[in-house]
Amino acid sequence: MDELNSFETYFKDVLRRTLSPPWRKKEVVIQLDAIGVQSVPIILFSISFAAVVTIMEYAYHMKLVIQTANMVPGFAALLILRELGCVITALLLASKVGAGISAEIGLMRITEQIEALRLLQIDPIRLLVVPRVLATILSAMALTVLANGACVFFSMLMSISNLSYSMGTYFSAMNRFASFKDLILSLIKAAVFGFVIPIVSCYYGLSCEDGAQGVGRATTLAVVTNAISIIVLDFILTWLFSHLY
Amino acid sequence: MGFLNELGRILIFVGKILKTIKSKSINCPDLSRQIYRVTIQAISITAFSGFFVGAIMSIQFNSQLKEFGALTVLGGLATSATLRELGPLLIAFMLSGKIGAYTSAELGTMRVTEQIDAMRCLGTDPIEHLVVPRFIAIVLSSFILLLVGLLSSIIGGAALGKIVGGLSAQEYFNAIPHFVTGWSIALGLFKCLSFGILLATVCTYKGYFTQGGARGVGRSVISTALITMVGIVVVDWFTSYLARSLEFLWTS
Amino acid sequence: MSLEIKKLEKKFSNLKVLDGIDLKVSGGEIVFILGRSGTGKSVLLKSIVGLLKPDSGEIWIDEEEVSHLSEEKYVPIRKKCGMVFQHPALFDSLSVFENVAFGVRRHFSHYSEEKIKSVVLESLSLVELYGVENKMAFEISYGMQKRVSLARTLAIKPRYLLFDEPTTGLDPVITRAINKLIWRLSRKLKVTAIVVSHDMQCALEISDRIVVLDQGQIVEESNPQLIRTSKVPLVQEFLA
Repeated sequence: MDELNSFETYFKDVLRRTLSPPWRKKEVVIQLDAIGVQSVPIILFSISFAAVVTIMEYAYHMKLVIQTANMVPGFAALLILRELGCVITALLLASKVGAGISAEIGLMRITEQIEALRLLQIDPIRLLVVPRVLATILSAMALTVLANGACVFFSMLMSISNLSYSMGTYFSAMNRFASFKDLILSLIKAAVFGFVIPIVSCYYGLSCEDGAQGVGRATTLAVVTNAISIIVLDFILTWLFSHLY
Repeated sequence: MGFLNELGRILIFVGKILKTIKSKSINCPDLSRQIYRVTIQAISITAFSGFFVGAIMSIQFNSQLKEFGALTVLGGLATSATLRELGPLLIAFMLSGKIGAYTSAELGTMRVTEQIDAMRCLGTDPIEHLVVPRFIAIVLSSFILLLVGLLSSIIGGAALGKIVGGLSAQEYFNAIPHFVTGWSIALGLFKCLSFGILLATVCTYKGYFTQGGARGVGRSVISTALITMVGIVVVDWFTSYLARSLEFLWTS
Repeated sequence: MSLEIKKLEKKFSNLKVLDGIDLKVSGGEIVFILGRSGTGKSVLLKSIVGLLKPDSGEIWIDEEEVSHLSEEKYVPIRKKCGMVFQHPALFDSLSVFENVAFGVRRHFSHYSEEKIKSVVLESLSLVELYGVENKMAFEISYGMQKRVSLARTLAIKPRYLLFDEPTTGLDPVITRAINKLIWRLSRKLKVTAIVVSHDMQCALEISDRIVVLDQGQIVEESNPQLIRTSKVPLVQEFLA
């Protein structure tokens, strides 16, 4: 891994080392905290707003199509589990974590800390990249569950207050449409997103050019590439899963 | 609270920008160069993402609508939802990533390499010369990009409507005028304006007041991304609520 | 023509960076301000050109007190007092020519294009750079960038030149060259030079007066001949 000759070499390296021990558990835990735990407030905050808006929009459109808003909770629950929970979480992580990781590693690169590691016979990929990959996959999944839960909760509040639902009718409507399968599929999506984000961000961090300019470029590229990857992957996964619905 | 302090500083900063726009004549070639650059930078990823978002919506709504035998409304439904919600949201995310991160990194780098100080010493107001053109460019390009995103999401939605739901493109497009109201268009545009102003403010502010070398530049980009994300969600909520109440009042 | 600083104080979140600085610089002098890194030397320079506002004290430039002036009112002062930053701080999107012309266009807006061109070429020749006008700022070497940065400041014909660590991070050959350049320009153009540095060698070579800063205060003020006899320990460390 002299200069990162190609993304392909890098990717294979990361994959190989992620799948084989040792995994530097202490690093993983530190990253879990930085990536997972510290994202909780922002995820909850954003999701609660998103939930409210989703219900409102759904009700509006439902009324247009079938003149009643009866089915809103059911349909909304479907969209929440299949799309909103995992994608919003992923996009937030793409920005926050993507920028954070690429800036952090980019800075290490331009202050020659990466080279120092190699001189000390420490593999930078094992120390830096793999823990972040593992941590982000786990965090993405956990945060998605949290996001789904929060979204359902706030949608329920909205339905009760605006659409004169009761808690019981809300949940039975939800049950009618959504199933456990949807939850699993959303976790799979989350895992995929959680895998891609740190790999891309670390790549841009490790190939960061010199100076303040380099760090700026690396973070920009990381955030943008992450966002686009998520949208494209979401499309592919959604299409694949649509055959299972 | 430190947060209120920062908010105050941001408001002062915006005040300076607005004052400059009002009083001085804006350097037109500079401004058009910035508009061009911002739009070109974000246009391909906006079109690209728009296509996929439209496609995803088609797939998701397809099964839900089939239950009601209302598949023909797919075009109208998807387009309306995009115009009112996903379109502005998507544009905001794309812009915040591409332009937001880029602008705060660019201004941040100029700050830490003392170019902004040098500019002041050479008799030029950096806000007038650097910040204002970028600010205006970001707000204006939000509109242009909304259009692009919307169009490509329609194409994406239609394509998948055909593939997954067997809808012809004709059916898809026909449903649009039935669902997209004037209010929806106004809402979409207003959201775009709000997001654009939010993003322009945050990325220029964070970039301009960067401190602390290369590390500081990284920090500015991260803050910009975070604050913009949260801000977009909050502004989205407020504008939706506002528009909903207005719409309600108007139609009843 | 003189520059005087009276009891200047500046605090950054509870750290007193400048703690009562008194300094008088006469026309045509070369004054070196030495001190360890992060001791407020740059803050002093930036206060003089109004990039930072002091907490208290006075700054007199040519019989005018300037510390309280607004940003707009400071523009003519910055025409008199040019600052050369530690980084080249060239504008990346502009060519070398446009960089050097930048200040000229702002401060002398009535100049014709012909006149601007001749001023730019003249300034570049003062720093011994020829034929680079049309190159982009990022295309030239770091040493050349530093010289262009100097040319850019010289182009506005200031009477005072403030240098923030002009030779820090440069190799000994370029350091010597820039040092000599500062001396030659000061004598030839009859400008007053205030140089912030931590290079005692450079100070001994070209300065008329050496001022040493420590913990926000002036601990020694002398000339190159007598400074070796200083009793201040920090000064002796610099001389070692």
